[in-house]
Amino acid sequence: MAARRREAPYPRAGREHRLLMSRTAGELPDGEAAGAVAPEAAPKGHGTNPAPSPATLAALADEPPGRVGRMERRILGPGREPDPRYSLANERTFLAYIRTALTLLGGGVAVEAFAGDAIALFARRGLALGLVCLGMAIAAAASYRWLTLERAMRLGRPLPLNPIGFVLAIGVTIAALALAISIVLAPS
Amino acid sequence: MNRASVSPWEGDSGLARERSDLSWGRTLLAVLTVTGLFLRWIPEHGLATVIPLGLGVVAAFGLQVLRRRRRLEVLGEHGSAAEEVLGLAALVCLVGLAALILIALGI
Repeated sequence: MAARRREAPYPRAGREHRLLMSRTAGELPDGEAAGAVAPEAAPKGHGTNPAPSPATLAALADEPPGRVGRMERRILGPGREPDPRYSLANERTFLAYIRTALTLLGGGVAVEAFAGDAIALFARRGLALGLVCLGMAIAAAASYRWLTLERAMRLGRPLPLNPIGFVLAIGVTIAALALAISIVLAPS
Repeated sequence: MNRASVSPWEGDSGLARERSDLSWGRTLLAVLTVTGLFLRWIPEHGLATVIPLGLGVVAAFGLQVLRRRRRLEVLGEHGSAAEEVLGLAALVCLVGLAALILIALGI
């Protein structure tokens, strides 16, 4: 029996994807000639992770759904069950975003609970409400992000870009600026 | 060997599952910490604080149920996290709602 070897990400996503991923790692799978898929001829994804061809996507869409329930099948859509290690990594990323959301919620609560008279009342309330709302929005966006990544992995598609980090950075920057201005302008 | 007959879990050492379960545990602690902050309002609002506190405790209990379900799925090598992910996002929004209630009580 041939020795099993580790393959590129999404090892069950098809020969075309494995070939393209192995090219980015500077190696070629057994029996493949260099230049078999010219980069300029490959469909464009983002970064070094090109999208699979429409034929590959059509074949994946007809795959059996794997061992998931009916409700989950409806949520996840068509495609192959991805490598569980990547699914678990996606789940842990989602949980990390959830903890970030909970930290924002806690920050909002803490500002309202402990800031006291250090900053003006309207600034305190506004900051607390803003942080709590941002936390709830991040939690909702994280679940959507998990879903889009899981669907992309099931279809062997390139992973979509992540807008949550950008939104989070903007939100936290605005909150920090608002807090700093409130402290400076607070009645002494 | 027929490739289709090979379980996708074959060769997994179990460490990824353990890390994921620990991640659920850390999230549970974060929910409990935020809920604990609600205790600060008991001297000001009295019994009215029980409502957001109760929502936080319900969210923590729900998270523990989801965690246990997910752990059984992962150990049984079947299922997806779809329902748990959507459930957890809803529970965090519940905690957020409890925080909004508390902030609104002071207005």
